[in-house]
Amino acid sequence: MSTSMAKVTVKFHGLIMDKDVERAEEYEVTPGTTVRAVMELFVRRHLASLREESLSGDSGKLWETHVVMLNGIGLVPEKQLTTEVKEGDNISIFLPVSGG
Amino acid sequence: MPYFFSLLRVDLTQRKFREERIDESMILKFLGGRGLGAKILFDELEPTTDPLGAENKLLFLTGPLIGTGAPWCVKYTVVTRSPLSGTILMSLAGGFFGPRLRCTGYDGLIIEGRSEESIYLWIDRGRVEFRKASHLWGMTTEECQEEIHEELREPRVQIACIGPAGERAVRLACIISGRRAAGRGGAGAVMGSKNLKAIAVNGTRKVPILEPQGFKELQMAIRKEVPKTDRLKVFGKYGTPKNLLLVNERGIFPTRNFQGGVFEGIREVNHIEQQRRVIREVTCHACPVACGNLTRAAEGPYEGITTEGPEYETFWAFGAQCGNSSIDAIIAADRMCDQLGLDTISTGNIIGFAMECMERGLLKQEELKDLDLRFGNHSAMVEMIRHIGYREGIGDILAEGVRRAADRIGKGSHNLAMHVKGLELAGYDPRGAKGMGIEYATSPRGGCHERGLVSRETFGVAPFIDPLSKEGKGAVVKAVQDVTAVLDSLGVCVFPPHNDGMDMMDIAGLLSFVLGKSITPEELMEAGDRIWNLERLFNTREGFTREDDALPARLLKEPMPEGPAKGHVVELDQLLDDYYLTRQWDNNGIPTPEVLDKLGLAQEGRSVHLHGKGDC
Repeated sequence: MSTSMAKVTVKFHGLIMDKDVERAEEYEVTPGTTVRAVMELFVRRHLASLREESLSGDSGKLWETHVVMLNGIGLVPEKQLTTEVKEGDNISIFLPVSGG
Repeated sequence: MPYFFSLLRVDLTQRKFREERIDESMILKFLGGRGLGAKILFDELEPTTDPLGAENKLLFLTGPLIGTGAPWCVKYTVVTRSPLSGTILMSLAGGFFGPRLRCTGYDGLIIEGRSEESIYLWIDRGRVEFRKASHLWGMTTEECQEEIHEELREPRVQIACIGPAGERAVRLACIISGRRAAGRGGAGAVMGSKNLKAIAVNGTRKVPILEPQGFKELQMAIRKEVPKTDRLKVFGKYGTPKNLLLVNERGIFPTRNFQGGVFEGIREVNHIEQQRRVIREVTCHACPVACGNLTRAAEGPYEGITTEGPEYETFWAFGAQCGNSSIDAIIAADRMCDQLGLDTISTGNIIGFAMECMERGLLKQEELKDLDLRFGNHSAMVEMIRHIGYREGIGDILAEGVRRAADRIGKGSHNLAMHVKGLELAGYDPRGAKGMGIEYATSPRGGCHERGLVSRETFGVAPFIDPLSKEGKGAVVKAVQDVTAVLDSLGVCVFPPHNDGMDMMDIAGLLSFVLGKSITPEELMEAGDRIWNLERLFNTREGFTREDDALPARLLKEPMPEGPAKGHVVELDQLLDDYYLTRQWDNNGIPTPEVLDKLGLAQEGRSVHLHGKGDC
């Protein structure tokens, strides 16, 4: 079934792992996987560092305060739960601040 | 005793000064700073006054919260008629000058006339001196401040001054205090045209707080929340550059003079790369966040140059806008602008414009002498800053601002001039953030992003709104514009309130304790609306109408070629209709008698009508 797996990239530019300009990771998921489910995979993988930093490791809080974009388009939390990813998609997660 | 403001009116021509009192009713209506400045300038300035003539006035104003010790209440505002846009200009700076100005015993200055010879003002505990500045003329802003410190030998003195650019009436010239800039719109040129090199202030007055106990408790409560606020902590560490990656990812990061919205050099120009170069953090007066960073260039010909910043906008202006991915060149450019007294946004915008003109053959190599002003050539970029600051060669034309420069260059170059009303645009492409289109078009000082930056749209701060949608944007932008008018007028830094640090309730509370009178958030918002309308009336009186609420043709006609906003333009007419309706302005963008009456501006509205410069 490997041919039907979708490769998606998650880029995290947040409070954690900011030692790198951007942390991009690839995830291979089955068709029908939602954006939120990919994000949960990401959290599970990085739970330790999420806790290490002052930002709460509680993923609920993470999704509430962060901007999530699918291919550069913002997704509100409800859409993260219903939008399915496809091959080549880019998910970006930012902790936004206001000011420029 | 009722609350009042004390202003110092200084006549540079006659070398006279007098103190004037602003009573509480004016503070309640216009708050201070920007709002009070709009009222004074509206009442006192004759329409069509030459911004660089002796008749223009230059106001330095604080607000009632400045110097109280409450967090983020720090900014002073310069109000004048802009030599760049011809509109009313409000330009704000943080640091320490504002609080120190209030300690002199004066809450603000109204500078009039023009001195015959170059001078600086020395205001110390109520005393005013006109001092010779011939030895300071020609100095950079840093040299000038050092020299005055040396002269006055008062360690607590704060100084606001101009650099060589302001002396030469470069229309992008700013005013620098410490290393902070009242940057936009050319206030430095107005100061230079008055032969006023600097203003030094010192004093020991405690600013009045009519209910000190309540004030103290509230401001301590606000401070206590700071370490618990995620967004504020992140902002404190990185400051505005934190948004570089995000804005680029959204595809609204203007690249090569707004030809695109995604910058390939972003991996070299971002907050992480800046952090590798930060020497220490820098703070303004009474700030528990300290978003500023002293940054040192690490490599190449710029190695060792330090600057305070650069901020997001400067990274954009000398980065993506000029196609430059050398972060160290941006640090050098920022430093040079501060030294010469140039606004970084306008300067970078104009150099990007000149680069596109050159690449399209509208500027000839002989006009540029030996400067190879191609996109990405950072050494030519940095050199061009110097030419603008000293008005040398082609720099003399660019020093007039992008609109006038395009008039001079001709050959259709105005299509490449990215400005509104003559003020150069900042680092967001409104094709992918429609509310920003309204903000650029309607901001009272011209193409400014800062007076109505909708964080929910531009950065995606929760609750998120779709940046590409046009629906309801008029109301969203108006609300942020009114809030910003309140923050500006009280001298409150805009960043903490937009990052969960403080809300309107806190601000109304602080102001209530200062004035000894209950002020509600709703009353503050109404004051914001009033201020915005008064500034609009000022511009209406100068002849500005809907036609001037325009955007460059590129943003209206050339679809964004790449990224998430690909294919989009700004549907400005539709957005403006919605916005005017929300503001209760007529179809020509002029405030209706109904809204002016509601806001207590009926008299001001009638006076605009009497001047016959707009149909009010």
